[in-house]
Amino acid sequence: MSSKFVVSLTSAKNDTDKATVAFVVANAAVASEKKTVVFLSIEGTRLSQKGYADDIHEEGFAPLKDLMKNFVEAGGQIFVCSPCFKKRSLDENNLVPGAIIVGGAKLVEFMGDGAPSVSY
Amino acid sequence: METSPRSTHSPAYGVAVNIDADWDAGDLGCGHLLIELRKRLKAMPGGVMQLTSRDPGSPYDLPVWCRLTQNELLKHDPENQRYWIRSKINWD
Repeated sequence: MSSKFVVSLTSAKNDTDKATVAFVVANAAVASEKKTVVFLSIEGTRLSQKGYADDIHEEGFAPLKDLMKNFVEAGGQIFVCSPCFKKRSLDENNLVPGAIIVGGAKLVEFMGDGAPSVSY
Repeated sequence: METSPRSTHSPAYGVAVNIDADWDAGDLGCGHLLIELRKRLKAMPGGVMQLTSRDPGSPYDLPVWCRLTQNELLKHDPENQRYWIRSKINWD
């Protein structure tokens, strides 16, 4: 069984339900002792910015900022798509803890020897 | 949803076992439940937690999670939505 897990997330405030559920599943993966990466791309890259998720709270779920905080504190990593980040003129000095801006090679390396993934 | 560290007895295995923590997780489920459960069990290696979880996914999730993480599910009481889990010793 692979020791890795990838959650790919392309949404932020354009679909807060998707953004929230992605991090719930990521929390389940990291709590199950998988090396877990949330890959933020397209609109999802906006979640890499401190404060952006503060007002996202889907009914029946924990606030997104808490889900993200718990994920990183448990050892999860957040990869942020570099070209998507630059296209949106986001601030690399305002990243949430645990987030790093990466090119595709970093994701390819992580998934290279096999990693299940789920996309939102 | 408070953990109350204590030592008492419970019907796990049909015989008395010492309970080191009693956590009513209410309706927490999926990642919400697992991330918090991991944190609590990690703080009590070797101890036994009596967990109550009312999430409808828990009867499927918790046995799998215990297998994945090598924590021992001692008993599941579906009627009362209770689980007795022994925290593994080595959390490295």
